Amino acid sequence: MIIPGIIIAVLTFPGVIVHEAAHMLFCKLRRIPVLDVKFFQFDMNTTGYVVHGDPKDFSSTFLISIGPFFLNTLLCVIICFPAALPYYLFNESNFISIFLIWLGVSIGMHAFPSTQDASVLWEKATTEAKKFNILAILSLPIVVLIFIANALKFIWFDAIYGAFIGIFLPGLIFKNLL
Amino acid sequence: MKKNDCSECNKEFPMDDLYYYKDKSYCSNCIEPIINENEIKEGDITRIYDPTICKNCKLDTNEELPTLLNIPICHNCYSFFMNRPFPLWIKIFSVVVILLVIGGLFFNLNYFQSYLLIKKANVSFSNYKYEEAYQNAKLASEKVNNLTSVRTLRDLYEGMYYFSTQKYNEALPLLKEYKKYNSSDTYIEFIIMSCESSLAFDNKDFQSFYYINLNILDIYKNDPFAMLGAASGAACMYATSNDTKYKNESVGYLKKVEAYITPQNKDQLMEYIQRIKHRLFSEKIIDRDEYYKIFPNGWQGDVE
Repeated sequence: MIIPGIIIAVLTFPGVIVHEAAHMLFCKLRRIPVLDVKFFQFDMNTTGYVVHGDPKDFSSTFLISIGPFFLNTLLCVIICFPAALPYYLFNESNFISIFLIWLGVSIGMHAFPSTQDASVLWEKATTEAKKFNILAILSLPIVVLIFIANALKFIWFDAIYGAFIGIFLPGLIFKNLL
Repeated sequence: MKKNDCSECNKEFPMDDLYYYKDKSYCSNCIEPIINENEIKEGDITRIYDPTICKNCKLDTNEELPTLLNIPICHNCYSFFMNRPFPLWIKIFSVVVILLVIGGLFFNLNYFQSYLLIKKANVSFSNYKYEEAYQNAKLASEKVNNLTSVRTLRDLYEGMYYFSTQKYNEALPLLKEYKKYNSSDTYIEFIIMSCESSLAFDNKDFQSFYYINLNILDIYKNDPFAMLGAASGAACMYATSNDTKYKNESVGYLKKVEAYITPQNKDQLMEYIQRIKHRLFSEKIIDRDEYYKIFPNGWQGDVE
C-alpha cells in the first residue's frame, strides 16, 4: 500500500523535527550560518529543511549531512530501550511505553539523510577524495548506502530501520544478556 | 542603493530589479520577450543583487556587504544567521522529550529492578530458601505495581514459605491464587492438595484427609510420597473406625513404596513409614511433633 509521504511525516512528526534540528545543531557546532529553517511543514515535497552557508571544510559537510543519522539513531535507542523493558521482561505493555516506543521509532525512521543531503555530500566527497582526504574516501560508501536507503523507502526501509533499532534490537539484547 | 542600466531599454533601475542573462543586465519588462523567444534553462537567467542592500532585512547601506551563498547580508543579519537560536517551541519540545526520556527511564527502571529481584527470588526458591524468595518476590511485585505475573509469583513464593512452615491456612489461598493464573503447573496442584490434606489432618477431618490423599495418588500414581499419603490416610481411617480393610489398604501401600526406596530418599521415606506404622500399631493419631516427643529417635517397631 502506498501512503503519501506527508501522512507518514505527520504521523511521525517528532522524527522530522529532530532530523532538521540535528542539521541545525551541527551547523551551529561547526559555526556555519543558518539562513533559513523549517522544522516541520505540511508540504508534499519537503516536510522540513535547513538552508545553511557553505561549510568551510569536508568534516563540517560530513557532520551536517550525516548528523541527523547519528542523533536520530541515538535518540531512538535511548528512548526505546527502557520503554521496551516491560514488554521483553514481562510481556507487559503500558501507555507510557507505547508512547515512548512511538516517539523513539518516529525519530529513528527519520534518521537517514535525504537524497539531497547525500547528493551534496557525494559532490564534496568526490572532490575531496581526489585530494586523498581520508574522511571523504570513507564517506563514499556511506553516501552510497544513504542513496540505497532512500531508494528503498518505497518498501518502508526507513520504518524497518526505526523498528529494528527501537523494537527488535532491545529484544535481541535483552534475550541474550539478561 | 546602486543603480544600473538595462542593456535593452537603457533606462536606469535599482540593481535589485535587474536580471542577468548572457553577461547583460535586463529590466523585468525587457527580460520577458527573451524568456518567451529563447529556450531558457535553469540558471541561464540570474538575479542581480545590490551588494549594498541586505537581502534579508532590506537595510540600505552605502558600503558593500559580505555575502552568504552569494547574497548580500548586513552585519546584523550575518551575526543572526551565524548564531541563529533554536526557536522557543523547539527548546520546549526538546525539554519535553528529555523529561519523557528521563521519566520513562525511571518508570521502566522499576521493571528492570523487578526482573533482577525475581531472578534472585528464583535462585532462593531453587535453594529451598522460601522466606528469602518470598521477600524478594514481594519487593519485585511492589516495584511493578503488582503486575499480575509478578504478583502471582509472589503469591507462590509466599505460599510456599507458609507451606514450608506448616501454616497451611495461610498458604492455601495464596497457592490457589497462583494456580488460577498458572493452570498448567501440575507441581503446584500437588502442593495445593498436600496443603488441603495437611489442613484436613490438623482439623482432625480424617475422612477428608483420606480421600484427598487418594486423589493425590490417583494423579501421581508412581510417587512414593503420594503412596505414603494414601497409606497415612488409610491408617487414620483405621485408627478412627477400627475397620481392618483400611489397615490392609495402608499396609498394601507401604509394601508398594518399598520398591521406590533409593539411597537419596531413604531417610525421608523411612521416617514417614515408621510414623504410619506406629499409627497402625497403636491405633492412635498423633501429629509429628507429638510423635517425636514420645519417640525422639523414631518408633522402631513393625506391623504385621
